[in-house]
Amino acid sequence: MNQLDATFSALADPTRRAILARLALGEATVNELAEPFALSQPTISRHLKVLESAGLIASGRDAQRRPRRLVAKPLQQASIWLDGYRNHWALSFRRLDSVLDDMKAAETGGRKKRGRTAAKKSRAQKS
Amino acid sequence: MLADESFQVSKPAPREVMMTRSFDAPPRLVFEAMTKPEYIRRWYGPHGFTVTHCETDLRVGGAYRIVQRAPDGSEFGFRGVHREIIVPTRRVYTWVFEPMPDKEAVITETFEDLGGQTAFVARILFATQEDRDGYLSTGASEGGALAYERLDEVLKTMTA
Repeated sequence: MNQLDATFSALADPTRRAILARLALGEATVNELAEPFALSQPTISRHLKVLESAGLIASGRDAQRRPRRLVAKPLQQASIWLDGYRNHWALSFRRLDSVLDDMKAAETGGRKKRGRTAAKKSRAQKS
Repeated sequence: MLADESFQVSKPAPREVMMTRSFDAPPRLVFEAMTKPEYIRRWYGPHGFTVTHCETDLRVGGAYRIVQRAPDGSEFGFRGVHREIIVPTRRVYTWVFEPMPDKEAVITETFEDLGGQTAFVARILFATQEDRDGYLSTGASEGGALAYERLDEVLKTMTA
């Protein structure tokens, strides 16, 4: 798995996203993480292992408590990629919206009608 | 705008990208706008790019080709062949970026009638996960907002 896939599959789980959200507020130990989620320590540890191998979190300096903290880099990369792709299409689809508005206006003989009431379709036309 | 807010991109499977979007027009118009060159020219492609060539043969086995010009003058093309066409509810076709002809994807589009509106779904299936991620990364140059969307989502539910 490459970095981006590891990031996305780590983010696919709601508990892991919640753990990341918690760590976004500051570092926390396994115990501190286990408590609010009402999960056993082994379960939390398993999730932490996935997040760690995806490079999303790291262990803190304190060797005893081993607090975990968020590592932002891979998250940034993942969201840049999907955001970039999404923005590209979002813009295209907005242009398509206005093309469709023009097509609808042409069908209804240029009558200025936008929005919800489009259900009243004129069946007359057939291309 | 409602239609704009409906837009979602996801990765439902390792080799797949899925886009969903609603449009405030019936499927026959959306289908037409997505398949006829005179309409495609008006909306398709990244911001600032122009469509310099567009031909589509809307039949099973029929080819299409679209060439775009970037703001710096460079041109690049996409092409493919239609595999399935049910006007105006479904279209399946291959897609290839001409500089990388060995990385073919298969796109399945569905257009569901919601009483004057259309629920559009496009699933893009690549041969490998690497191909898909490479494809996604090409959109990144367009990039804008770098938001920790998923994190924001969770944070909202936590503070609610």
